Amino acid sequence: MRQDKLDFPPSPGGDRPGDRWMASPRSGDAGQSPRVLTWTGRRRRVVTVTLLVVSVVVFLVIATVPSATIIRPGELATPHAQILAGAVTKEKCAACHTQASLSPVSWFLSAGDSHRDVTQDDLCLKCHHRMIPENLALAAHNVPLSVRVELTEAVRLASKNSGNMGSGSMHRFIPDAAVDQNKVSCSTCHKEHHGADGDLRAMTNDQCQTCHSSRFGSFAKSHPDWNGWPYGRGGEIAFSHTTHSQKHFPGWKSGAREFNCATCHPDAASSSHADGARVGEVVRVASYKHSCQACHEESMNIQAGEGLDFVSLPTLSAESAREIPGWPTASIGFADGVVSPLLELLLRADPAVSGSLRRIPNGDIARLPVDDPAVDKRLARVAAEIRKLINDVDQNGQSAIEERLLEIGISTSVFRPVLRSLPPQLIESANQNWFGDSVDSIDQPLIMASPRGRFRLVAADDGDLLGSSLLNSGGDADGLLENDLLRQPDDSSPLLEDQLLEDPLTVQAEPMRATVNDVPAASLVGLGGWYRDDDRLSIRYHGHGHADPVMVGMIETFAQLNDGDPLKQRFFQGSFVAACVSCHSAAKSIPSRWTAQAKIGKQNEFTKFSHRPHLNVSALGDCVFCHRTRSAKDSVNDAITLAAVSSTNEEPSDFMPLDRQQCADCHNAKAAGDDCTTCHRYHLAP
Amino acid sequence: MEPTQAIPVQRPSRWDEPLDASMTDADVAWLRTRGPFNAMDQSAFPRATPLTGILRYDCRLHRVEPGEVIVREGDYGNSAFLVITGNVRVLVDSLSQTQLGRDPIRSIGWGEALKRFLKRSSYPETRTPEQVSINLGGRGQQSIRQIDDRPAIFLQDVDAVLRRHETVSLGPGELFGEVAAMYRSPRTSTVVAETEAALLEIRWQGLRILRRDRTFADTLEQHYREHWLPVHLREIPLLRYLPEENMRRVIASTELRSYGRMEWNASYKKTRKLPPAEQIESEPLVVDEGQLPTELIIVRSGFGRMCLRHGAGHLTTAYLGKGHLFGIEEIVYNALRPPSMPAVRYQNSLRAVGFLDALAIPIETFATEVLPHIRRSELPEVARSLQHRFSEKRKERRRSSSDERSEQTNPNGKPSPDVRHASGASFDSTGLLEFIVQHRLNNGRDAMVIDLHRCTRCDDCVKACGDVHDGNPRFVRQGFVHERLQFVQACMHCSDPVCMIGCPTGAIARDQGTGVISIHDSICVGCGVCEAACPYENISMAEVVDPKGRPYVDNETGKAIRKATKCDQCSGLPSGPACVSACPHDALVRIDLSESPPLTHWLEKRS
Amino acid sequence: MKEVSTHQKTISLKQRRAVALAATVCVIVIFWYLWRRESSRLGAPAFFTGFTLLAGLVILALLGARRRLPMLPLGKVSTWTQIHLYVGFFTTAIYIMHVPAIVAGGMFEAFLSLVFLMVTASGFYGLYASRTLPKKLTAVETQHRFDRLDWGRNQIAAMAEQTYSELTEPSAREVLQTFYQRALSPFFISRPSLAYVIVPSGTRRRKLLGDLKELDRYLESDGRRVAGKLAALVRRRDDLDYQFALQLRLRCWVVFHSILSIVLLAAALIHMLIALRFAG
Repeated sequence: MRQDKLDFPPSPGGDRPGDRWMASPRSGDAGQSPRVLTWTGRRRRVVTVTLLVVSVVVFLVIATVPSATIIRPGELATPHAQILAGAVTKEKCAACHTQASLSPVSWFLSAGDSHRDVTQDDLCLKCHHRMIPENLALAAHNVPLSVRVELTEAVRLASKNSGNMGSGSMHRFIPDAAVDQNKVSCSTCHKEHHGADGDLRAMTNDQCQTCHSSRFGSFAKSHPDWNGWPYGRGGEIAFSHTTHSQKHFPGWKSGAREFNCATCHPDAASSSHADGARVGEVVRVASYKHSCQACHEESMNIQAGEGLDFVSLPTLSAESAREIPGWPTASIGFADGVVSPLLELLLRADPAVSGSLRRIPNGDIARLPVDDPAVDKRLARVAAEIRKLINDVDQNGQSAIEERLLEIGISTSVFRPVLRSLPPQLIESANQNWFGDSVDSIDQPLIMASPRGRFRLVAADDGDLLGSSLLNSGGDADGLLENDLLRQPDDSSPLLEDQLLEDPLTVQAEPMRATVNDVPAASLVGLGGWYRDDDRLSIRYHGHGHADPVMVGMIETFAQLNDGDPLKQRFFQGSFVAACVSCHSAAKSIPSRWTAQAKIGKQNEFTKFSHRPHLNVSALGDCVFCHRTRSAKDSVNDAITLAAVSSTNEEPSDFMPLDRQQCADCHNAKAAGDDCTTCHRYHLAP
Repeated sequence: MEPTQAIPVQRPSRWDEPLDASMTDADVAWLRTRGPFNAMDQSAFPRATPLTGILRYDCRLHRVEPGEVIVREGDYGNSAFLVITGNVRVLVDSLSQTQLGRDPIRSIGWGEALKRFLKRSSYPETRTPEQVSINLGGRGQQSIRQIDDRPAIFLQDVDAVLRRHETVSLGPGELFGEVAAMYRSPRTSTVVAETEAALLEIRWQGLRILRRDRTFADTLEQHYREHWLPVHLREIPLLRYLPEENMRRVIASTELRSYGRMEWNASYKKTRKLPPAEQIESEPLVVDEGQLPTELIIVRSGFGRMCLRHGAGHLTTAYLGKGHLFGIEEIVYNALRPPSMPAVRYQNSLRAVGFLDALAIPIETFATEVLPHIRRSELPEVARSLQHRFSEKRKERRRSSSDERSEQTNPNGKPSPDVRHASGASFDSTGLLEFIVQHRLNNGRDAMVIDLHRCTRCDDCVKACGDVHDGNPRFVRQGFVHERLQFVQACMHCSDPVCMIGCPTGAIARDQGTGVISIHDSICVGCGVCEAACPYENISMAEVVDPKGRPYVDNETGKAIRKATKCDQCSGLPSGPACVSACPHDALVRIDLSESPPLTHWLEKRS
Repeated sequence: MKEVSTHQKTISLKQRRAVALAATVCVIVIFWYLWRRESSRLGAPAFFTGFTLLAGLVILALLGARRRLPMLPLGKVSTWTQIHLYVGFFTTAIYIMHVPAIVAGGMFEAFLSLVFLMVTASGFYGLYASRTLPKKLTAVETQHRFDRLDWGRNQIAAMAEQTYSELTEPSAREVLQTFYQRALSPFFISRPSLAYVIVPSGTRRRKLLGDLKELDRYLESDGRRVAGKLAALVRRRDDLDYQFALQLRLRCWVVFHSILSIVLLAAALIHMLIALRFAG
């Protein structure tokens, strides 16, 4: 039988689907109008019950669970989460949100006086004020507007010179910033609540550039060129990689000692003097001890020669000498001698004498015209002043020198190491020796008696031993000395000073004077120190070894002079000084810079670089891959780069500049990344 | 084996169901003395249907009181009225709905719609007293009164109405309402009793037999040809450019034909379950296929089925409704063909589905009077290609092809939609076509069709319907299903509104502007005639209660007051049909099934 | 998406879908660009997407409002459904832009995102279900109305009882009695099991029909007629249950979706208040 043959009555009409109840389908039920729920009725019931249950559950949860657990729009980044881990839940939110109260009621009330004028940025700075100057915290790049304007101009010029302006890419569609550059909230860039793995410092290129008036597309295509980076800003140490690699260590040709970058630039972690450095980071600046000493120590000591005059009595003509009581007869004759730069500096304190001094070309008295009474007179005045200086120091000691320096406006702080090492007794003895009886009264006639030996041993502690050790194994001894000096730069040469001051008797030890009488005075201080040369009637300093604090002090003192001052030039031309400044060329500048600066890690640098990730690339493991030294031929070919370099007033580096394209080979979107933040930092805080 | 025994039964006879069982022989005899029956030739009537029989069984005597509305403009009716005594007035211009006791459809605004929605009653079918009966309304007078055994509706202040309106007075012996009765067309004017009058209501079956009497028939036909045929012909788009003179000749030669039973709805429930072959076989044949075309058939009312023999049965190719043409292609082809080519025959048969009222224009008249005045672009496809072939012969190929192109691009080259679909409604799917005809859904002007492949059965349509009808949905989501289509049992606002026939007070009425058929509660007497008449069971009677849920009862009989309810297309509501706008899945549509394009397009959209 | 509704009269559903999808994708791309732009310019992209999301949710919720106001001319609900659908796609895309993690960390936020995901998932399921289940429903021969399913069930049970009682022939009665009382009667009387409602399958129907067929060889013609009628009733009843299961699934989905969307909207508003409160 077919189903459609079943003859059912049509189902009753009269539907009222909007009603809650309908008549029961069971027709045979009891008469009292049985009814059942319609779908609408059932649906309403279900909806009501469900919503009720949900509301009850919600209220229960609100009542039992602390608010901070309920409301949390995503996990904090790990550092923040760790810091707040111990906090009471209520304080967790309040740590960053000024709207501390989580009670729903308070949302609709004013936050109260306690939070007035406290912004979220203030709360950020509560912890981060060490890294960021508070006054500039909200300024873009943490620099004042004027600096930003300068930077902008620099970037504009650089990109203009690179010819990259407006090279076709999407960057011109980067919208303008929605923030005030003088009030950039921390949260503008640092988005929290993006989970433990969320990078608080994640920034897209567009986000970086939105504030910038000059914008670039990709790094490879439109980043402005740079000038000679990374070498352009170095130069504190005069060092030529070219000559070292090609002339001094041509080992790769002969098979002898090979020029190896890693010798001087070892891995920072394995190198002893760079504690805490990370593996893979390269020692940027080779230490003297490690890299230079082996070759340069000896030549440097030789170059130092006899040392530097503190004071030397010029030879005066007889007429001139007559005006100065007690002028040593050994210094009378044809006007001769050199006014040492240090002496001249000290004499400058008297304006009259300084005028006379200036008339002496290069401080060389011999070059003055002979038999000119005016010259003689001037010389006499100078000599008298010298005599006065010696007397002054004899009587007043270090303070006399300090006063004089202060008078001509030179900071004495850098000179102090010199002063500390210079025993006043040396001056006193010189005074006594050279000017004899006239020491107390200048008017007294000069007595040519020498009650003491013709010179004194200054480094008086067991001179034989020191002398012999110098001869036998100079290197080791120097090393010790150097270390001492380095570690205690402020109380340099305690041996010299203390011995002299505390035990003046020793200096008068007759046997010593007898034994070394014929030895040139300079050779007595082979390890360096002050000495009196009675042959030349001078007090000199013999420097020794690298980083001699007295030399450092003197160089830094003279560095304070004006660059045009002939005295400064004369000082730095001296061979003894040249031994220092030929390498430490930046020592001449104010303030003196002795060491080359590593180019990483400085917070105020806009660009950052680390060798570490680069060295993981096998091709880059060979330093020469990037750092090619400049040969003569290259420098011709690189005329343009040179011109660019010279325009920035910096010496051309001995490396070929690393051009942008070379970086861009890897630094593109597909490989190593070309994000702004890869190489640039935002916070330029000092 | 014994021969099966025959069972003697009485054959159902013509007059098993008299129009009025209370008609007596005395009444008949009295009527025979009055005109026009006194002049009729008794012998002109067949023996089976004598004049007395007609008067006895097909007629009813009415007594009308002054001010009673006898027929209303726009109503449909099966009967004509003969004035026996007294006077009636025919109102030449229209009466307002209110005067007829109907509540005019009032457009309500958002606010009131919202208010009604929010004040939905919790009881089914609540009515205010005013809605229950117009007599309880504030008008103070009894608009509906019981006259003899029937309720009748009266005009208020009849004198004033008659004064204000242009009227024609009809006296004894005059007949009115016969055109609407014979040709199933809406009444053209309202007739009100002027004095107390006796009317003889003659149903159309009787009227038809009465036409055996030559004079009577001539009067009728003359009247029709003069007054109504020109109007009907003018309505046919194909004839709209016909000059007056040609039209007159067309009118003269046009024949009027009627086929089938006018009360098709009575047998509908049985016939729709018949197998299609039997059903088609039972339908009266209008034109058989294979005949030489002799006339152009224009459907004036009713429905026709175009079919052709296919195997042992008949294949429906299209259905025809009001205004459709049959045989136009064949006739035009034959008229335009070169003499060398043979004439084509009717390609299809035409059968009357239910009943079919047609105008037949003889082919000669058509060829001489009509054809020259038809726009070439409006000619059927066959004829146009035929013409095109001639022109091709005459012209160079290149010229003609460019012509063709220009003709195609010419917007005037496209036939107007009226004409294009004039030759019947058809679908790609024969099954759908057969289904629609079988269930007479082609009657629907505004049928509710659901795409079952999209309908999630959420009943939002029913709910929406309830929401806008005070909680009472006017349909339930059930109805005939054909493949993915469900033809929901909701009022289709039929083109042949059988429900409107016989309403005693005119409570069920068609809006002239929109075609929407709606029931006016306050004058609905709950007789159930419309419910019984609707073949699709789309009208239901509801017992009404007051807003507090107390049932209304008749003060005399104590019976519950009932009202007919059905879809009113949400007339007057700002939302339009709520069912359509409530469907979330585009599954429900109100659509005109009397033509094929709406449904075809709708189906195409979702194929 | 507005476009779509105006063209609805002329374009097919497929075209409409293509146009609407294209428009949605365009709008998503535009909003993605705006979001990127907002984050590029160091603005507040979370506020941008958040308020967009909230607006999207409100538009989505408007469908429910429209459905409950059928008497106002506010456009067809199907238009609203289309808008709802494509705004749903759009909102899902915006959600992905908005959230740092698909499920957020805090209790409330996790709840909010879970509710959102559930609403979204149920929305997508609803889209799938409302496009596939109607065809399955249509394939069943009789169409039932949901509220009258119980009535239909009772009718079938009554008819089955009556059919069984028609059986007068004692041998046939003997054969059918056990089976009717053990298997058929419980089947007709009881409602379908929860398992059947969740996953309607033909197993039950096949088993009953197969068993009934087995009995045929013990029956004479009248018994077979009754058995055949019972088989027809079994099919009819199974069709009804199938309709019940699928219609119930469609309806439950709507309830689930709408309840959650109320919760979602409320939670989203609270989230907005919290976000505004703690911003900056």
